[in-house]
Amino acid sequence: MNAQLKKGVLELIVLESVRKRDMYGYELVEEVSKVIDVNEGTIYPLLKRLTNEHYFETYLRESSEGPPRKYYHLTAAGVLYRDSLEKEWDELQKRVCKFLEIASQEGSL
Amino acid sequence: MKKQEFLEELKQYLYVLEDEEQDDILQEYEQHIEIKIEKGLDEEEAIRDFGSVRELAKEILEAYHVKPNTGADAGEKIPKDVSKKRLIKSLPLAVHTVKIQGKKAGKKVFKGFVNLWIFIRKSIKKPFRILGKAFDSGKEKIQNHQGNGKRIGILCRSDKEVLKEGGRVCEGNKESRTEKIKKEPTEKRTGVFMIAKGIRSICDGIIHMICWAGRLVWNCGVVCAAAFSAFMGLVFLYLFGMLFVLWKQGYPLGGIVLGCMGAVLCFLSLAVFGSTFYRNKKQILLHKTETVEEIKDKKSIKAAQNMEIKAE
Repeated sequence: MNAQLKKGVLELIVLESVRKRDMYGYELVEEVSKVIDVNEGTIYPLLKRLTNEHYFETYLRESSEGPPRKYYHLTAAGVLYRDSLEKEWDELQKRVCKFLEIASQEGSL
Repeated sequence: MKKQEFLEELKQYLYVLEDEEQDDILQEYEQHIEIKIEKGLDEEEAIRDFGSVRELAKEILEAYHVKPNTGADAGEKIPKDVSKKRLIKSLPLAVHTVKIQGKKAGKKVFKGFVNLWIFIRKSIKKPFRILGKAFDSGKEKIQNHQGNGKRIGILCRSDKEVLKEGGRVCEGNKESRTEKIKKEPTEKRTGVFMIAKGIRSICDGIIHMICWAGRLVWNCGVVCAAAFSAFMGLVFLYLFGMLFVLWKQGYPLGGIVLGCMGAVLCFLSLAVFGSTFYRNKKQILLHKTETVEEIKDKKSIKAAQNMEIKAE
């Protein structure tokens, strides 16, 4: 898949995943990988950026399988941001679909 | 690439970040790699999915809005001069701090000894002082300040001031301070206050007696010891004389004669040394007044200096 397309929707997918439930890094990578194939390296910088911009909160939770893990939680600002991204995505999708329909109609003409 | 290598390299790229941030980021990556290893991958495979370390670092730094064109944004490792500078800076700093710590420790030890000595002297004199101050302004203070807390507080403060002046217990200062306390508005000059004053003077007298008695005992001891040494010295002098004459007459007494001479010198010098411990009242008073005068001199000199500075 085109890298630029993936990059565009990655934020939305990450935000939506964490909105459903708090996750730690590895868990999140797995969730996102179900939707799109993603370089693991790029997830963590993205999480860092979103945390610095206060869309995420982090906390440590003890785990049975080793050291405590850092969990990500969506803040109120994060929820609003995710909603705005979803709106933009819908808008974009409609326009592109419409454009392609028209284009294909015109093309078939 | 092994896990440690990867983490070390990543750390180098992140040199611009604070240590806490660096640790935070690296910990997360380490955990991620650990989980992948548990799931069955080996280190090499786990790290391969991250891609280029340089690119990764670049993306991480984007989250911190690093200034472009600083090199860090382009994914440069810690430049050599920065790393060298850090080392060079830290070395003399370390030496400097060690020196300062050493000096501080030495000073502390010295201060500790001085303070201990002062504490011993104080603890002996404190009960007397408390008695004196209690009756000096005691009745007023109790009524106004409700309890002993403030009085002891005043005592503590006054002790600190004494400590500041190099640990010299200046009786003169104590008197001036008690005068100040007296100067506070005392409207109630009742008979009770006068009785208190009387009691106070009696206490003073008692203290005087105790001091005098102590001094007497001490002096007696010193005199006895000195006298004993002197007596022994004289005895040996007599022996020395006799043996010397016999020696000259031919008896083999050379060694004993020398021994006697040594003993004589020992005992006599001991007597002289012991006699210096004798405490004279005049000596003590002289010392006290000297110190008070010294302080007054110092203050006047300081005042003069301040005037000069202001004039300039």
